[in-house]
Amino acid sequence: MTSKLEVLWSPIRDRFIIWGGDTITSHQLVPKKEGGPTVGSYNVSKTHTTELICTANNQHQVKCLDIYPLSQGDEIVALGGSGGKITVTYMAKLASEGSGLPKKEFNAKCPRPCTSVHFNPVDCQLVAVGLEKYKPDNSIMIFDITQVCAKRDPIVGFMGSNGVAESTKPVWEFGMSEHCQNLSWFHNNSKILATGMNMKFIRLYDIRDLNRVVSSTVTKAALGVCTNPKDDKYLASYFENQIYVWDTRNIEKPIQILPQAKPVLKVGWCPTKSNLLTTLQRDNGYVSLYDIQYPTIGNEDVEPTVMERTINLKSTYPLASFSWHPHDENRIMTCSGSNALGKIELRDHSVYDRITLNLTPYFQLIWSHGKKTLKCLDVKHISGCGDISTKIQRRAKAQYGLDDDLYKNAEMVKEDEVLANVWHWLHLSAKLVEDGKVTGPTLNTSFKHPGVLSVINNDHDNFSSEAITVSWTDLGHVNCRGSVKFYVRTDRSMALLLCSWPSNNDISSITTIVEYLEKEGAYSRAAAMAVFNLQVPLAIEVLNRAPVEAGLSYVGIALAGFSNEEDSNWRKFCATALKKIADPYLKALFSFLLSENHNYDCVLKDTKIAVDDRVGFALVFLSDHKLADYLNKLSAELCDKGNLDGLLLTGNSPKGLKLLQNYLDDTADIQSTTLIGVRAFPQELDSPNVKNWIENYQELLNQWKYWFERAEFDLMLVKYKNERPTPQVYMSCTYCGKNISAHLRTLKNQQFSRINVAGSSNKLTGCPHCRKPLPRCIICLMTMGTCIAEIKGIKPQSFDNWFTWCQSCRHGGHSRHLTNWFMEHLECPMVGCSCKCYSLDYSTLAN
Amino acid sequence: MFECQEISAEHKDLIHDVSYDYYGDRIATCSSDQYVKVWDRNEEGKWILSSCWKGHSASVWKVTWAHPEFGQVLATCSFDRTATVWEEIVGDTPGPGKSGQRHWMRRTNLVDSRTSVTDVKFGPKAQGLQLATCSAEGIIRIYEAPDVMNLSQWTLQHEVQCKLSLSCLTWNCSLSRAHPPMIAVGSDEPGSGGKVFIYEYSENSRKWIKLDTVSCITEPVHDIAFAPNLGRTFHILGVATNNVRIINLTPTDDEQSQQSGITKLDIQTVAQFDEHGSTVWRVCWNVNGSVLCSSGDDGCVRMFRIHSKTLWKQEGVLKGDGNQVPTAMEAAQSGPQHIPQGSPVGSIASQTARYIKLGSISQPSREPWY
Repeated sequence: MTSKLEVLWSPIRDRFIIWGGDTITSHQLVPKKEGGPTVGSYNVSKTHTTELICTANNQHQVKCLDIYPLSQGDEIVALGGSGGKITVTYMAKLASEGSGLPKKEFNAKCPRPCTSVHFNPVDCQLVAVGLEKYKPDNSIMIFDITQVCAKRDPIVGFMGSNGVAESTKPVWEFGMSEHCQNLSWFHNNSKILATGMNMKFIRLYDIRDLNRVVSSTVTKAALGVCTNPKDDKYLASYFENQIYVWDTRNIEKPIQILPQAKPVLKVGWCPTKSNLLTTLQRDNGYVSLYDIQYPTIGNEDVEPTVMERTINLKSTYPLASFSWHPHDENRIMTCSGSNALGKIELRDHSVYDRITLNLTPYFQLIWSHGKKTLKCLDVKHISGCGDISTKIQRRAKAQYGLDDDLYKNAEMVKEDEVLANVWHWLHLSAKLVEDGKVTGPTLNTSFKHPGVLSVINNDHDNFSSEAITVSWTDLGHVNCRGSVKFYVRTDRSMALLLCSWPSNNDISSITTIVEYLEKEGAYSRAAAMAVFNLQVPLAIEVLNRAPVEAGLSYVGIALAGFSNEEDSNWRKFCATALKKIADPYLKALFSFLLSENHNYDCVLKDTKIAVDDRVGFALVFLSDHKLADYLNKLSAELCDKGNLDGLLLTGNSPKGLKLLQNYLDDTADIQSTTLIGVRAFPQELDSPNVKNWIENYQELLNQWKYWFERAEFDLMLVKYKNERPTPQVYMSCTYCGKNISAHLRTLKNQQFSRINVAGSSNKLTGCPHCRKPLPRCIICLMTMGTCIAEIKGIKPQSFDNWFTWCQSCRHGGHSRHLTNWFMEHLECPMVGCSCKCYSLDYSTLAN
Repeated sequence: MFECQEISAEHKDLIHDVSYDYYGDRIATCSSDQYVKVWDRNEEGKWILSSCWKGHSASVWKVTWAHPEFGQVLATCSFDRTATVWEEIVGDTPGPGKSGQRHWMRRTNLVDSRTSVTDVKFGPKAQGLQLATCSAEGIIRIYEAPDVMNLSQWTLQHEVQCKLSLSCLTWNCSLSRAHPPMIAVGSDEPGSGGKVFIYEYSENSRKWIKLDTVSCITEPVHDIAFAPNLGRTFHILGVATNNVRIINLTPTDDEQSQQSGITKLDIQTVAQFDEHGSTVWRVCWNVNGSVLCSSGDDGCVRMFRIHSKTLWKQEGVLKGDGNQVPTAMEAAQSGPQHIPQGSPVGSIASQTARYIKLGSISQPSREPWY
């Protein structure tokens, strides 16, 4: 038989008892210390280890064990022996027989093994003992460990009873000629004992009336009968691989049978949670938790539901036992292994409660921690570089996208170069179109931001480029052979402007751009730009001028030796060194100089080089067919990836819109998508895509209560739409029903109307059609359109004169009057109206 | 480092749900102790209990807010087989100058279910005031308040049989007119077969029609949530099962779907995160659907962030007590290396090509130079 292994939390804080084989040990939890583990200690968790308090060896006769619930200082344990002897004593006494501590022994009349021992949880001095069957004797005995002493305090009483001389008769005994497998006291109604008898009964006895069995049921599941500390209603027991849950009020039938995959080893209820049944199966590393819900609705009981959770306690050996902490919620101690092998693994686990969680619009996370607390945390800073939603929030506050000058919007997205570039490019392209630098047959006025693709003419037959071949020697490189071939055409030059590249051979524009790049600190890019425009000396100059920190001066020297002759040392050296260059622009520069047969893939396919430069390069060095191919491929690729750099190619064509959609799909950046969509694609404002973006962005701003920002966005939107906003409210006369708003509007247009002359206010006080008065203010009883008087020297402000109504009861008047009224009142000032106009709206109160 | 505010909710049993209102200024909690509590955020950002009442006669599973356009309205669902709509009203005994006592009135009790009502959610506001519930008996019910001023009148519009016991429900809250109302439900019933079902309201037949079953999810599902659509071409669904899944649902425009008026969906699992190592209980999205948070049996809250439409990565881990668990990711962030976490299933789109920045300003402003 495998030796038994049990773990039990002690009532004393942070202490527990392990009982395995013939050894009982008592332990204390201590924080982990530096250095290795000491003898007899277990690593129970990451932070804690145990300290051995005492060991009791040679307890092989012990069959069952329980700890006195009121133990203090040292655990008092009750041990049921194999010979029917029940020993109640201190752990220290067990460990060393010689100590002077008291010990008490009770004996069954006829020797037979004890099966179960349990202290009464309320009347703690009572210990119930279950015994095996013996014909002429009872199988259940209840002893009072303090009985012999009259003293009330059980511990003192217990201490006083040193020796075994006193009466050891049981207080109650019953169950004649029966076999008791298991017993357990109820926790609230502590006079009742639940027992599993004869392998076929569950019986409840009341110690106040032993002649009567409270209730009984016939079942084979009479093993491991255990009561629920939180609710006397429930009882659990098991048989082989089935767990039975019983309702003690109606014990005839189990309320639930829970089948298990393997034979059950132990069942137990959690003492800190209501109705949480815990089960352990043989040879398993899991415990299963069953949350049993058995509500009463009205007067009827509903089918109970059970929610199962399986918890993997990651034990090396199959679990042998568990013990819920009596007070700490969710704390469970498990043990596995075997004492005989000297390998016991103990674990102090927290079984986490199910966490529920939610996120606010402003990125605060709230989640439940246990049943009593909620935790609330701003997670803005947690996700590394900051989520796009917080960026959107910050940018919205900074009026991003609303500035009339497109390039100024780039300021607000400085940290995102791609976005900043988009705004700069939009500005550049708009200006180029405005200045007439970029025109074309296919461009109509709505294309304020034409992409390279729409500028380049694809009619190769009628409109081919002029190819110019220049030999390196002519460029002043005497050591060089071969030539460079580049292409010129008017539309190419326009496209180059869009890429902010210099037009071919225009020395002054090349120097301007190179100097500009240099000023910005992009030395290698400036050098590459110079070389791509065949100005190698300029590149050397740039590299030499670069500050030492950039480490580029040697590169300048290397470049100075430029010689692309077949067997020149420079060529050989560069070809090998090329692989080691990390800077993509330097790499491109040298690969360009080394390139043969006009194959420039090394430049065109390097994704680390800015799209502008790649496109610019292609515009200069690729033939018509190759260029069209390259541009189409590149734009398709960038569009697919939602790379906003691709806008340079697509411009504000439908393709560009698709690119924006892909950008949104990838990044969830609805803000930039919407803003670029609105500002760069005014012709698409009514397309379903853009409309949808706008709505989503407005919704987002509303959710953050960025109403002003939303309104400003709306205002900007209106500029692009040629619509007059319609009024929200119309007014008609209560008497004649004619429209007053329409009349007011015409009045506004009549410059020299009588009313305008009469005073500053052009408001009406009566219906222009039937001459009946307009509604009156319920406070001052003046008709609408009158001005309110000055009160205590406070001049009425423009809004104070306005008329306002409660949307619920439709009573109203001057807004100033109403605000003052509701400062002191809750109900409507109208006689007989009990509307609580001012409190109806939650948001007004919250502010 | 991270300020973690603790609210003592003082529920007497497990808290099952916590839900924010539209603006994030109020929260509602519900628990197995049968109570519902509402908390308001004060000026300092602290949460103050404003109302607390016994809502049901059994565990309250979920609580959810209606759009503020309909007033301060909550819906709860419970093990007691009912779903309830609550409205906050101002009390009758106010003193002048003070706002009246506010309390929550039971407006209606929806008693159609014969088993536990496991989830309740308000529909997108464009549909008016609609409420969807799902129950353990496997029925989705759609209710509607025809008059939004009268919340005691609710009519049961649709009943959809799902066969499997349902545990969770989510509306797709797309604002686009191109997307008909859509609901996804999950089942926690053990056994084989798909556990997530997608339904759509068909204008032609005036019925909710099952579009698809997400067949790759066969483990019990405990929570499900649509990300805010945000104008994307596809919908993102977060699923809490034995792991965290992120699924893209792309409506395809083929002729067949145009003729029948029923959307055809292309379902693609784009991420599966096993980091919890155990059952995942809840998932929730941030406001623009770029971050998904999940909680699991390991007692941790985990965060996942979008990198591209098919690539998600774990970004942060919090223990239940609010301490942050450093991840390999964060350790790596200090160095130049970037260790991808999680294993995106589907095709891993290569990182969008971004050119390396040279120095601080490699891309000079594109001023016209001429």
